[in-house]
Amino acid sequence: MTSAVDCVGLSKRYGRHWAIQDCDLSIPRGRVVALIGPNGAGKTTLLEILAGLRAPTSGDIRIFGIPIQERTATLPRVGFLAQDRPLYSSFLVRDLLTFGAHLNPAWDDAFARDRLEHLGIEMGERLARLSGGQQAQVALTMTLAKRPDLLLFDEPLANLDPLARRDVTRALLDATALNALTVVISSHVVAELVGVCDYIVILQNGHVQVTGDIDDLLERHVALTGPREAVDSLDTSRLVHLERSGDVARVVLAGSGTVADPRWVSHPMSMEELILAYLQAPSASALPGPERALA
Amino acid sequence: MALVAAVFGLVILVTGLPLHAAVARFDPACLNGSDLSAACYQLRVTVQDQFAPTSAAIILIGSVLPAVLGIFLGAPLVARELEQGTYRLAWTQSIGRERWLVTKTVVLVVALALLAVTIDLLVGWWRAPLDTLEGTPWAAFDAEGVAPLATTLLGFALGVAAGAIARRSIAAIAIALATLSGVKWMLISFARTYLFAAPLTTSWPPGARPPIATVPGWFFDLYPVSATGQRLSSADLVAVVQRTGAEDPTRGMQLAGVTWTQVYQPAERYWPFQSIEASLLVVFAIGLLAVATWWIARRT
Repeated sequence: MTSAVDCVGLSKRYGRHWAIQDCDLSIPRGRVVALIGPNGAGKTTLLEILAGLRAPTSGDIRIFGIPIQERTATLPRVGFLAQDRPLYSSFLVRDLLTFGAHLNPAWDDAFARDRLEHLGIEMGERLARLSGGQQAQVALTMTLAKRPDLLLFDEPLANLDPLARRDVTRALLDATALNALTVVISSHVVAELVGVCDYIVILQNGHVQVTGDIDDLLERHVALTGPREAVDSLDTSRLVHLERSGDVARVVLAGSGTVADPRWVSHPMSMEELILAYLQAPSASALPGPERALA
Repeated sequence: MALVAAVFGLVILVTGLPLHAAVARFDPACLNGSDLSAACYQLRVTVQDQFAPTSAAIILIGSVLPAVLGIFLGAPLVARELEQGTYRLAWTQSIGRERWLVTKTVVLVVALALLAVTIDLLVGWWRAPLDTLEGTPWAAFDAEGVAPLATTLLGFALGVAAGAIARRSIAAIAIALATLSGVKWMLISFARTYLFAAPLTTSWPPGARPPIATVPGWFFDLYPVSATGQRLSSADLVAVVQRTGAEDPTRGMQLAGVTWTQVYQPAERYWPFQSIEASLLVVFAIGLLAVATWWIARRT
């Protein structure tokens, strides 16, 4: 089955600055993907290219097998929630739904109305007068109501108060539970994506550092704790990240084999720990083997 | 926009009823130009002088207002989306950015057209008595007929294209205003007078009645011609007349063999010229909208 997203050699340059360089990415259908990376890593650029807002400088990008240049075919299948959740602030809620209905043939108006009613958001309310959390819910509804197959969320929880963050996270969880949707959520805050996602893409400096199923990745790494002195006995070719605090050292190693030295004790690794290890080791990478050619 | 039309309508009504009443009292013969008596002439001049300032104002508003509104509607169409970042919402909807632009354009053009037609008809009603007296509506060329409708569309299209390319609403408004003014200036200063069709000329000796006195048309250049057929400037004319030694300037011109020449466009060319101008402006407008669509399609 074709992947939801397939990128080969994706690059994007703004003037002389390369926002993304030579990225290979293959996101299977139905995954909920955490797109992680520090600010400026290229997450927004990547999502905007997938959403059809920006053209890549080079590379072959396909959405469900369709080349990204064929916008009429890809746009109906992609739902994009941009950073800062842009809305027409002078519109009423119902105006925005009318806007959605006119610009999307597959618009599910009943779904949109039900969802907003359920959230207590009035049709006659002016968008500018809604709270940040309510605006986020409206923007989310706009994305879902066009019935896309691929959802792209660019930092959906940014600038929300804790209560709103919880509500939107819950809404994202509900959305991801909808059958056969592929979802990509970008964030530079790792913690909020734990428990929501089952696939990871880590971007650093415009390069893809890690991609893979979380379960798969966790199986292919070990996390060990041991005394500082034992560091020398480690196989450095497997070392992803080393952290020393006081007398104790914690390491993350690639490869599932254990270490001979008995001083090292393995402990179960969380997704967060794995991600943090890679974020702190930009030169390390965990990518799938030689990529098969695009069909 | 409905408010604008309503206010303008009120102004038209209030200032136009006295004009219509005044001309209603005219003899039909005086009205259609067949009465050549001094009394009729006096009557016509009085009415025209009385309402000239208001007429000028009405024509000015009628020719400028819809076009400027067109610019103000067109400029932010693309530019505002880019300035506010809402293009990230609009251009990711299923139908795509090209159809989005077409849809938005159609909606705005329909609204703009309704306003422009309303203002056009209101001006037409107001000017009707004077147009009849003058024998042709040419004096209100920019505010009656199809020309102002085409100008409004062009203003809108200029706004949209400038906004798409400059990406700033204010800059787009400035560019569109400047360009439209330039186009208008070209039309008024030489296109309608010399370009669309070569104008006609007619000559007569000084003191005689101009043969075109009762021929309606757009009279835009009147100059003296010497006995040898050369166009004379005012200074030349004064010199020539002084050389004859005559006291009366008219007698002096007759002695010197000077004739008057009038350059004009006859009234029957009014509608052909309206059509030519409207067609040119509409084609230009459509071209600009196509450019704007192409421009945003390739934008990365």
